[in-house]
Amino acid sequence: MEKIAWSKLIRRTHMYLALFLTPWMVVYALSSFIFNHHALFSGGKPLAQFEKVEELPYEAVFSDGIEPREAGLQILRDLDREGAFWVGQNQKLTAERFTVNRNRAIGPERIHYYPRENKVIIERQKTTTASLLVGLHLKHGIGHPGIAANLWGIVLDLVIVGMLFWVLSGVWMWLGIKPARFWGGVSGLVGLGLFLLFMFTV
Amino acid sequence: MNNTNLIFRRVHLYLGMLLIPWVLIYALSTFTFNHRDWFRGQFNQPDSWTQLWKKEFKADVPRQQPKLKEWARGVLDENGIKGGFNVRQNPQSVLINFIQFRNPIRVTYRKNSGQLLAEQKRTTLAEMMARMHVRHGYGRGGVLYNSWAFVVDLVCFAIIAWIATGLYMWWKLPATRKAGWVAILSGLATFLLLVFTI
Repeated sequence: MEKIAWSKLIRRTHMYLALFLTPWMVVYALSSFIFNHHALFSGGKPLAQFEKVEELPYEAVFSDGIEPREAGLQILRDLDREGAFWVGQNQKLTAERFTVNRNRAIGPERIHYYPRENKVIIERQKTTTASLLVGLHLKHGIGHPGIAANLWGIVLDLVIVGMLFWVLSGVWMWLGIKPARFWGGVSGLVGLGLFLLFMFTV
Repeated sequence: MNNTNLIFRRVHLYLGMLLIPWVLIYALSTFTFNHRDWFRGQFNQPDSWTQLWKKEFKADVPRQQPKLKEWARGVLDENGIKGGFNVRQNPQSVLINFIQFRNPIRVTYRKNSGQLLAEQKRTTLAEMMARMHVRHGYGRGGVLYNSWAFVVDLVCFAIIAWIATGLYMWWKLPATRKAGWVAILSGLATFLLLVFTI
């Protein structure tokens, strides 16, 4: 009786976790297909172009020896654009231009700060289905400013837990289906064999 | 159990069994991306490149990328290195990265000093998984390289197939309909909320 209850719990967790995470898995499947056939979707160009949307006067004072990421965060805060972002780690505030990439899901922005001219130019990417999917695929990390970006990182951890759980519970369920043992075993061994072949030759 | 139900269950299961190694690699490598600070020491460790050989070499390097690629292919062939690679140059040097999951090789041609240097990277498990995660695309090497891209396509197809067959199996369990709808709709709502607010 206890075994049946345990079995049911594993099966239901496998299913409900998958139903909850369906949107993320669809995004990862479709975006991976775009990566794998990039030229087909981009025609040799970027998936979506950035266009200038705003030019603003901007004066800022940064603390000595400030890290590029901290400087990027300060610029975003000053411009009221906080959220997930990244900056090139080799950038310097003494250079002609310092760029902060504000990676929104819809309409990612590049904020170019020109320290000598005391201005910023904001460019926004025109969102296409392909660029949206690829952008979502690349989102990761915890510790961004803003709740939503961190929540995405937490859900990504849940996706990872889900994938590991689907594998483990899937193998466990396969062992419980006697008629599927042989071909399931063959599939597993073929997959493992192929993977090892790739690992040692590619 | 009717035939359609059985076929859907078996497709779900056998595709899953076949692709276990890829699902594990994608899951574990994503964990290292999502918690980069925890794994910082595992990536680009200092002194991870070891010299394989160094040669005197003088050549005219083509400027255009297709010809540069052809030139690099010749350099690798002459030195017995076979497989997929990418190449880029700046005024001082040409860098040929020979792509391998386990121990990548880079060949650097220093134009001014006329030296050709080959180095191999000592790789950590996290780096190898990351390389597997990001490898994609056809036409970057031989049959095996294209076969990896084909498996990437297969994983994409499998995810869609798991979702479709999973939804079918859920629908066939009337007792789970209500809770299933809650899971689907709460997942969709969370997803849309995040997409529109990030």
